[in-house]
Amino acid sequence: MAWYNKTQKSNDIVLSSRVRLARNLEGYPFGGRLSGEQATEIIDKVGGLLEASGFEKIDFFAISPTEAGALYEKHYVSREFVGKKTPHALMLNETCGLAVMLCEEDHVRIQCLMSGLALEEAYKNAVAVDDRLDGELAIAYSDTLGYLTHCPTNLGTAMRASVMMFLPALTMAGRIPALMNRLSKIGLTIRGFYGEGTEAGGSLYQISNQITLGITEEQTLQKLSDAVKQITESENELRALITPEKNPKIIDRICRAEGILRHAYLLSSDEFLTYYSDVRLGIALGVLESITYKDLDSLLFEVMPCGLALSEGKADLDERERDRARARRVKETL
Amino acid sequence: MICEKCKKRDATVFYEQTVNGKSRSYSLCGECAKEMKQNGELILNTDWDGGFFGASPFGALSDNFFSGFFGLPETVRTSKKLCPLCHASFEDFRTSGKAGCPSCYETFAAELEATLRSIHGNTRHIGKAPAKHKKKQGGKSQLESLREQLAQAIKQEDFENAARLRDEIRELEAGA
Ligand SMILES: [Zn+2]
Ligand SMILES: [Zn+2]
Repeated sequence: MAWYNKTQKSNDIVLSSRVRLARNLEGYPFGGRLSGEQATEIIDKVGGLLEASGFEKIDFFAISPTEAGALYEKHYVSREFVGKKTPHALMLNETCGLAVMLCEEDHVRIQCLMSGLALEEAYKNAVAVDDRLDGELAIAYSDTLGYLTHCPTNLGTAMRASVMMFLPALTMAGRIPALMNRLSKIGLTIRGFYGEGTEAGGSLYQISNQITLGITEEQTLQKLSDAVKQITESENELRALITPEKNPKIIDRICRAEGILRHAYLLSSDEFLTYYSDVRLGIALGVLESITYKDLDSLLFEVMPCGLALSEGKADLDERERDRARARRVKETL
Repeated sequence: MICEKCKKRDATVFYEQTVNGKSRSYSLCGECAKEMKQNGELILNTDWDGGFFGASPFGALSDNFFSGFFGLPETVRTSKKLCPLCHASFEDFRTSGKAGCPSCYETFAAELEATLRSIHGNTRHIGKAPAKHKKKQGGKSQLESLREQLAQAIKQEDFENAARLRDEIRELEAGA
């Protein structure tokens, strides 16, 4: 089962949590200096260990661009990873939400994805993989700089923890820039999940730690969960101010969005994101009672171009076919 | 790789020197490099020198200390140290913004310190370590490293960080 289908209780505002650990092997160069042979060696070494621990190996040279794209759409791999020209592989353990990219920018990128607010659990799962590798391989580490990574911005813990949050009320109130400012002062960043900066598609944002050196993993997770708690409170305060009496237009928008998602014949991905956001707010406000977060959120990962093509059993879809397939899929699910 | 001068010891220093437009690279052991430097055959640039003579790369050796220390002739100012593993120069690191391999961090430790401080506000790791490093670190506890950081923060008048560190130290001491 895909990670996003395992629902947690607190999916209202926090959709998902992710912890990433970058690890590198001693004696191998990074990035463009790593030869194809060396990359294959790393994939065999690390991949072999993980296969013995119940991971499935997906060699990216052996799958189609559409299949690779679908793994990106499900957040298992990065965009850069999909297009790499040198050998690279994904080690996947969907039961634990674990995806390990081999030979991305760093030799090993351990990632644990959980639905809802579950930073500690995600960290625990990622560390279990790290410890498994640490027992068998020489991990590049320095007593002063911590885990050594391709990019100096990841030195130290080499950990990126992030949460995906749904913040429609803060967005409507124009509070995101101020929030951005406040978070950057404490070493956290917020950015739109789809689109750039404050123009976040679907009112979805990713909040993550920026600093990795001179801070422990526990402090980082604590800082991030404190921020999530505060942001959740502000979002809820603002949502409580929205009532049918004072905001008939917002309620109208929600109801129309539901109508379009349920009945559209063609649906572009931008449209989907816009109406997704309105419908999701409708669920939160108790306006829409027949749609669940689980169904709505699973669509977020399943109506993107590559995923749609795969579920239609095709290598590729043109835009019209895609919008038709998306509309059909949304209608079936809701 | 063996030192090209004495052909006995392992080469630990890789070095590219440009004199009047002609480049030549050297693979030397520490002793031969030192000897060549004293004879004036090799003119080391100052940053490199700081790391080379055994002083802690993250210690008190700042750029200021060395600048102007040797009267370097203009013609050899382009001499550069290379990473022993991947042969990247600091220039490669600087332009790409990324390390060539894990060893680059040790090789260019002194050059990187200011950059790391501007990225992270810090230059020392205090988090998780691989099992074998935990043993090697031995006596050095989390508390000690926090105290070091506190001293550094105070020195730099970074009071926000200092206050945070002080709280953490208190918490740890209370727990111990
Ligand atoms: Zn020698
Ligand atoms: Zn290197």
